[in-house]
Amino acid sequence: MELIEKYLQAVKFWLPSSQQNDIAAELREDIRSEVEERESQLGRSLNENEVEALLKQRGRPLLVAEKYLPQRSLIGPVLFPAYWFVLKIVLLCYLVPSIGVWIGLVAFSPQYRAHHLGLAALKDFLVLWTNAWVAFTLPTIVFATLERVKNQNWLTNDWSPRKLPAVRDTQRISRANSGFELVFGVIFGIWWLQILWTLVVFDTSGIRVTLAPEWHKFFWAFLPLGVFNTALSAVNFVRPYWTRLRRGLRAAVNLVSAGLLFFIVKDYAPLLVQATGMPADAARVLDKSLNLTIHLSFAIAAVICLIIGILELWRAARTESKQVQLSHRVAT
Amino acid sequence: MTQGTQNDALLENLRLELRRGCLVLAVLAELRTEQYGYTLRKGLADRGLEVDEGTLYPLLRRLEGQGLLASEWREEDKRNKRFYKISRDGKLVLKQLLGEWQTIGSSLEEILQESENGAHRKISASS
Repeated sequence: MELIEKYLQAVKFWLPSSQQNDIAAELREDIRSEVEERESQLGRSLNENEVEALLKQRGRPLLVAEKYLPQRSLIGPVLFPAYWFVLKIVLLCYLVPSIGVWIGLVAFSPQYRAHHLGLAALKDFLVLWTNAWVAFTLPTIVFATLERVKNQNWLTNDWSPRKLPAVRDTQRISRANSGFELVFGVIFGIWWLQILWTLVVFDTSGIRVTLAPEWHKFFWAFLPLGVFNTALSAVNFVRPYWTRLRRGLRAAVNLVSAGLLFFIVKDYAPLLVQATGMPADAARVLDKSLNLTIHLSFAIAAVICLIIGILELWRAARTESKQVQLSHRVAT
Repeated sequence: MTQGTQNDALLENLRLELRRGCLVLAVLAELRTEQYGYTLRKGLADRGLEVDEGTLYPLLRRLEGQGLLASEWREEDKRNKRFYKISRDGKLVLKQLLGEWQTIGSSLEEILQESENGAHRKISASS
């Protein structure tokens, strides 16, 4: 019967101390009754193997003990959908772009690779890993705390169907967004093309920041792209309804932009900083930090364009053809 | 996982869900007569309601915690055993649950009867 005592001891280990002896005594009685019944059926005592089989049939001690414990969860079913939603947002808006930028820099930027060898690469990876860890841990701690301290009645009682968001028409384009895109596109496009043409980014107070001459070739690549994108925004503003063609064109604009930006990151020609109005050391720091920031910004922009391009392609594939849309509208 | 295994697992889950609610009723009803855990388990199994000890004993504790059962340790055949019996509150709840059970049973019976009649009507209309 030593096996039975070992088994009971293992079950007791997982139980709260106030209930350990009581539950173990009842389990012991149940096991003994079962052993006695088998023995009377067989007309002999059970051997150790038979007792072992009987205990195995009852399940692992941890699982047996768990059934006596109240159901517990870090984040309960009421808050879990919101917690899951936040995690997905964190994953999509923070972790995927961060890792994408890192992979992009490692794959396409020889300058980045040259400065991030050996331990430096490991350090970058550790930063990414720490960010990921923090990004998942913080929401978990917040929701676990809410689960314990917040009265969740407001979630179940304090709501009204009137306050729910309006029905979303995924094919409809917001005129406000198109208007903003149009205005921003024109202003940004002119500014960007003017920089690519003149190669002067900043020239005031004794600080002159210019682009290396290699940048000039990008003027002719960005010019049609900017014009086309602005025209697309204008069409979207006038006819605010997505069609498969327009989704496809938007995907193409973003994918081409991503390609161009990756090309810039890959063959990065540095910004030239001439700072006559400041000490040489400060000028060097400015040069280094400005180049690092610009290089990283292009990598981030490339990843964002790539993600938007892929998303738009996916949406284009799901968008109904114009004819089906028309028949839907007629039916409505 | 094959389709057959998936269906078996699904059926087993649904069967367990269906039995879970009935089990409380069966335990309360069985404990109108005082019994200890093992005889209760055997009694339920003999009537076709097999229940493993990992389900039964926690359930007994829960029902006792809710005041529907009362228990005491007593010596029988030179062994200490815990005897359970339905409490006064338990009897009231059992009566209400049995009423609910009968309502569910007759509603289900009616639904099944209606769908059977509908199926018959469809067959005769098509022939």
